[in-house]
Amino acid sequence: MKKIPKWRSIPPAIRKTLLFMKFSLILFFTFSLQLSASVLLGQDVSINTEEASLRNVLDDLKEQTGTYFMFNEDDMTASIKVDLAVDNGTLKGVLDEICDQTPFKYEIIEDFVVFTKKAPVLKKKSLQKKKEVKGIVTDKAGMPLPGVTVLVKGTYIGTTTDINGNYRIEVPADVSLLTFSFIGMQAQEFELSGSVQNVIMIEESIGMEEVTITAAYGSVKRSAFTGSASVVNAEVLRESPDASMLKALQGKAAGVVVTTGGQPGAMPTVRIRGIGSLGGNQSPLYIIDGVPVLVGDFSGIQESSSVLSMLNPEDIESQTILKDAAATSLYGSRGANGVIIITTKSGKAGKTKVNFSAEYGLSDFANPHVLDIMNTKELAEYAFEARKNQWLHYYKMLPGQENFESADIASAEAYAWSKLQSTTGLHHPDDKFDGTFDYDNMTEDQAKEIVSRGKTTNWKDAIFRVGKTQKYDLSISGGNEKNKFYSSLGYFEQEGVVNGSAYERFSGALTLDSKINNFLSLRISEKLSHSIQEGADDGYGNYTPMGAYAQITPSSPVYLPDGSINMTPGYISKVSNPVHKQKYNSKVSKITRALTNLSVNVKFTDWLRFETTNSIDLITTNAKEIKDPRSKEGSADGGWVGKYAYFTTSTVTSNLLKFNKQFGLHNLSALAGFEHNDYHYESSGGEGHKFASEKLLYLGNAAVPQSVYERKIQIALTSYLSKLDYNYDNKYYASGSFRRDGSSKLSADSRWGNFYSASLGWVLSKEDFMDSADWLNFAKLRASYGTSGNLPIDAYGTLGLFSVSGTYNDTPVLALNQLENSNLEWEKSYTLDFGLDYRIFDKVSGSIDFFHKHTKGLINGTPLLHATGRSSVTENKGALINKGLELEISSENIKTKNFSWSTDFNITYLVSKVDKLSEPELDRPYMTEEGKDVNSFYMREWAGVDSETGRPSWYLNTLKEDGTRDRTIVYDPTDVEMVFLGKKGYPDFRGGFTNRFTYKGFDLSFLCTYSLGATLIDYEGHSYSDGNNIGKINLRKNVLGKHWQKPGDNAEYSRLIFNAVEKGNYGSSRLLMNGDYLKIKNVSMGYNLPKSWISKMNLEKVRLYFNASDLYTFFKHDHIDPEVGQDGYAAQGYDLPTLKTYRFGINVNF
Amino acid sequence: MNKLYIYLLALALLFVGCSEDDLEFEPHNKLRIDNAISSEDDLRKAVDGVYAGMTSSSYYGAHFLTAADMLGDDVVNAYYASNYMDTYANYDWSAVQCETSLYRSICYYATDINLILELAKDLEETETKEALIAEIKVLRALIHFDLAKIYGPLPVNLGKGKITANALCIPLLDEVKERDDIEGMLRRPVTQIYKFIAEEFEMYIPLLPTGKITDGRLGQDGAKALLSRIYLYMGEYDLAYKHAKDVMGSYALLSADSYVDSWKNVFTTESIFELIITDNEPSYASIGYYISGHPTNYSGHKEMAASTSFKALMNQDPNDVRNGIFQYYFGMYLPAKKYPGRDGDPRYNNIKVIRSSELYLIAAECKLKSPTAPDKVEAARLLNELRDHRTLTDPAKYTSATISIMDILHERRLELYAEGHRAWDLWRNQMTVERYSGMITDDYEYDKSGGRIDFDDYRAIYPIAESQIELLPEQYQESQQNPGY
Repeated sequence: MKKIPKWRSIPPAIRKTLLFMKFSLILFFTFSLQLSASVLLGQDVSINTEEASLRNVLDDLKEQTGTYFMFNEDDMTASIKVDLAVDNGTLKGVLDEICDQTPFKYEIIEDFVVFTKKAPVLKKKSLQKKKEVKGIVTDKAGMPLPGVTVLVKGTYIGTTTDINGNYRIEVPADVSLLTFSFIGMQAQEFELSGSVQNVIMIEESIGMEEVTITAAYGSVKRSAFTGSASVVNAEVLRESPDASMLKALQGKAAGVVVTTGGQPGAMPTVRIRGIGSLGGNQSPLYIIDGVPVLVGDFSGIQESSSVLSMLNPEDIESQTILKDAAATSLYGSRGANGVIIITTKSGKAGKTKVNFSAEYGLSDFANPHVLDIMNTKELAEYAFEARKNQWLHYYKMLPGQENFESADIASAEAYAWSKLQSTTGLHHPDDKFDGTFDYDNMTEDQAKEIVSRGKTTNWKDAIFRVGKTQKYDLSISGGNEKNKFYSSLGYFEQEGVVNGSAYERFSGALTLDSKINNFLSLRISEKLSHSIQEGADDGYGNYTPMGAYAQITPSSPVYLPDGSINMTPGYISKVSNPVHKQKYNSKVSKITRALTNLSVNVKFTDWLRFETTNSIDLITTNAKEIKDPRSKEGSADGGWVGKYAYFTTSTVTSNLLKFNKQFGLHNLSALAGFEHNDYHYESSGGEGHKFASEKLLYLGNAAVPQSVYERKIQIALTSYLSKLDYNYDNKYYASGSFRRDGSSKLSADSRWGNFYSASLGWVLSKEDFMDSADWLNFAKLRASYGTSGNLPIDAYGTLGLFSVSGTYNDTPVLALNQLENSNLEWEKSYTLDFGLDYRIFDKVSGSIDFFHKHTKGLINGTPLLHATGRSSVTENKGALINKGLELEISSENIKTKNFSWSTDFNITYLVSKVDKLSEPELDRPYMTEEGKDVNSFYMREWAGVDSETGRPSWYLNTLKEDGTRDRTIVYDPTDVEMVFLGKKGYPDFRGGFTNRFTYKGFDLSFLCTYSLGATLIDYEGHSYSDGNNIGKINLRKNVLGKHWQKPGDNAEYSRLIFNAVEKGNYGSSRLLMNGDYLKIKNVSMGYNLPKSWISKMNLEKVRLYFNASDLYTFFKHDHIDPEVGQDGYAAQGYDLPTLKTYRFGINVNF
Repeated sequence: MNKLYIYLLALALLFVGCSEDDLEFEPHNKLRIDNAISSEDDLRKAVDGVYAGMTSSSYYGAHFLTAADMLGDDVVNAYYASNYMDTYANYDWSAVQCETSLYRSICYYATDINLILELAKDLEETETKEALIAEIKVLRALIHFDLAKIYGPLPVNLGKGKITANALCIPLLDEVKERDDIEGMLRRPVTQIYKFIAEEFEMYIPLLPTGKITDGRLGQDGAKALLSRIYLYMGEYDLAYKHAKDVMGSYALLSADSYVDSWKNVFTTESIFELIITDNEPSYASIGYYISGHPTNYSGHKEMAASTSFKALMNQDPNDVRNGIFQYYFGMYLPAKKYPGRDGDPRYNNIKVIRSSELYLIAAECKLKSPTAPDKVEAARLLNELRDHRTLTDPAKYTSATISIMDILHERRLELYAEGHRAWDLWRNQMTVERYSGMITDDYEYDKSGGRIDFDDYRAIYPIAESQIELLPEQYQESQQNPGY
């Protein structure tokens, strides 16, 4: 197959032009950017011409000096000629000469030379009357503002204020108006009345509705936006401690759920507006600067990794979350789960700005009790009781059993003592760990000594540590009206709480915006980053630090008395000593990402533009896993090394024709475009074992090469898109969009899909009849309806295939891999949204949205009879409904000169239901059934612990003939019917609120997040109950003292019997708990040093700050973090738990 | 810059369409089914693919290989092991919670075979092709037999005890089944499935290669040996004897002193059909690694060990070389030396699917039970001959006067430990698996069997997973499940 990436299919001549433009831009910057006026005019030039066209002369001068000349095209006719004879003169001399010969004068503005026509009258008068005006420009607080542009209105005559805010300008006598402008301030105009004009600039206070938001394929003022979106800007992003900017969205935007784990560089889970799919992708689409980018885990070998962590949050201007169809359907087949649009920083015209920040942070487990497990004494006592009751149970001597009256406690205890050590693996306190202690012939007294004076090792401190982060960022940005730049360098390092887990990132960014001429502008941006992730294994398993921590015998020492490492710290001999493992073994992924984006904007007329955006997102990963021969994992192989290389590119070309015109009060804009995305993935790797020396663990040194592989995946998506927006008088809005997508993931018959949307908006507050409502600053009603899609995950999922990679007897074989499945289609969402944007009392603004999202044709596995040769087929079946209400409120409660207090609040109410499903699907502990909530718990119903006997009990719940359930309490869970418990994993309400205070230079903000109505399942809880798993894993401390011991006890856990023979550990509603919580997510304090101090050092702003994240959670169970995903799965057991982080930093601007 | 030029550029880019070709990709490591088999060589690779499947861990690679041991009374699943081998060990399954990977894989391999047969129809008819087709059809029959033992009563027990004469077994996987062909995928009676198995063997054995085969494929000898086993299960003792007799002469029994070490070797004289596992297919999910309890390098999971009753059996004759396959590890006897692996790496063991010693045992049992030509003298002689190659104690222990099925089972226990026979040996003789001695022992800590599993106990047959039953139309649901579940 011949495959040419789309951008390469541009004709060569045009490619050359584009390239040339790119180079000339770079050269241009190199030469002209930093020149001051005097330096600029002092440049050496030589020029000898006769009767030369001034245009050509200026071209020549530009060649020589790199200086850019501006003039009015109409004035600079070809008939204007000059004679010049200058050898090694200055540019100033030449320019003065030119002005003498021609009807032009020049001014230096920024670093441009601007030619304007001399006023004919003045020319005659030869004596031009001028006057000098000077003054100081300050802000409201009286602080001088440097860099304010001062211009004579309607001319290019102007200057800027100096570092102390002073300006001085000579203006023609007849001039009457001066304008002052500064970024972030309202532009001001003053009638000249004297020679001194002091100016106070006022901050631009803009309502939420005036914020420009980046929407699909363009940006738009919020007031004109008919879709639903939340925006989180750079300042807020900085409050999160994570390498990735996604964590910063936690609690900040309605309808957005973000959950993360404790692994450095790990992948956060982001969900927008409920549960979008059952078997398909649920993650949103990510767009960076107009193009979809790669997301996911590119580490190759880590437990969890996110390539989005490679984007330095400091380089991000804002994140916009598009939620409804009006906003997302233009992303067609990938928009159904919402779209996150990330806009990166670019330079702004004006003074060159330098921003430097440095930060240091510490992290530890957010939940102090998450790792509490039993010590030697506690475990021994627990096991003793379980073994004793096991004996009694076997001889039916427990309460409620037939021989209870003749219970032989002494024999039971003797049995329990005899089994204690072999059950738990606990060591006798006199064990010297040299193999001499005779456990086979242990006496009862010795067993008792394990309880009375057994030793406990602090494995927590041996395996875990306090995590550290450090972060340094430098950015320089600036430019002028024609050329702007933003550049940055960043370094981030995080050491995880598990020894050996770390994340390090180097990043650099450069963005250049250039207006080549009146009709052509372009933007080049490059984000380059390199990260090194060293991950710890996660999850249950004797090889992971968390798993090993749970499976180690608490009496085992880390090191043996002879100083060597204890290789068998668990009773289960396979558990490796995690300290040892962390010391020798490693898993390192080095990822390099280059995200390059070139966009060209061609303005044909005032109302017609063409935009082409072309990007290549390139990710390469170099990963290596080592199992050192000295480690347990590597010992069997004599050392083991796996080395892998991954190479991924995603190229996007997006070409849009944009129309925008006013006809009186009618405003019409439209766009039509074509987009193509090619995804290409290649990887190769090898593994080998047996090494001569543990010092040279390189794949090439492996005596026995084990396997080599090469993989490749290609995916493409072609799209045609169009959009029409109309508004009348910025009061009535209507828009519609249409997109057609074709994906390579689907078969030819079903690969093209159409997506559309329609939306309406009405700015109520502009109506005459609302004039009397002074309190209402802005109100807009919106309605939208539209479709978007979701693609299957598998690139080749619809093809019938034989695999060729297997072998038999070292020869290649063919074997059935998958059967053809050509009927698979998109999953389609139909979203209806009603919204209101408002601003009242000049203080409170926000939005309210009601949404109803109907997802049909869910991509989901249907189980098949195995005899078909497949266990399931991926199909489009069933439908989901997600509906809810989102409310965002921002309020400036108090604002005085020295003090301010503002509050941001958001809340989301969500209902997520299975609308259609032909057959209920059991997916323990949930049942997916038509009409029920998604993630509805379907389990046995726990009836508690019988207070007389201590037996676990359940409700029978079998269906009776009259349709009711049999509520008999029974003692065998296998008789019991599972039922819907009326509980679900996702919350009814979820959200966050932030309060921000400033007092003089101090600022304080805190963010709280909360959730109401979810049920959590403590899935590992059953492992810890009723005598189950003794001797296999150590048990959680929180079960201590809570089991039934004597008649009359109202106990949470049933009587302890070894192996939980009464099956209390069977999954039932006892594992469920109310998931309501309130969390102090983030507290941030800052102090801006007074300007009077720092201006002496020529600094603009110096901020010191302290930030604490995941500080405290108000939740009933202190060993569980309730901040979980939508399934209510409390992942406290073996996943690395959430961390709390404290950070200190300084931020300097000049 | 020329404005017109820009215009053209814009229009060009805007309307650069995309042809369907740009959206057609195929994976680099997989072949489209339609064009996968276009030569004899492809066909051979496809047949090899079936062998590769048979070495998977749910099948001969580990779990199925020892299923009957785990179901039986000779093996305990060490309670602090990782429980990777629990599939058939603890009678802890129900229709809702049961292992289905073997069922799934076998259906997968059968579909694979049926597809290959379909695709091979277009190939030119040659002798090679005919032989390959025969080979793959015999393999298809073999996988039917293996699955049938787990999901249906043994044919010899039909009509006995609580087992009905028309009991169901597995679906007949003789062609690719379409999704809506529910009837075609229903489970068939035991009689029909075994008839199919035997007929396929009989029909295609003559087309298979002859002589000793050492490339891990099935030849005439291997197929006859397996057919002998199949007939034994069917109660066709004369036929079983005939096939055993046909083959066993060519595969000499190993001497007592070479016995233990022979497990390190491939294609020994005893080995009739052997699946190859090479060093290039490293897998920790392999029988050797599951069993191994290497005390110094920490490898292996120590998943199966001799039960108390089996240890007693070993103690009866300390001179029996077969005791030597056990490795002592912290109070347990692990049969680690039966799957020691090559070069000390327990992961790489060829799987000896059938050995000549088993044929001696089959032949002896047939001679004992034959309805038409019983011959206790020959039965005793065959047992003694095997015994002569395994122990110095009492070489002529068995005599025609005393020999009984218990003697044969005794020898089978010792000879075929960890090779997948024990529970079925008991049940096809209408005996009971007895796992408890009456006190709390450490043998079966997790066991949910209650200690006794009679040959007609419902748990002697695995349930069909409830999730599979639910896919059937209502009228079949009850009848397609095994009784008792």
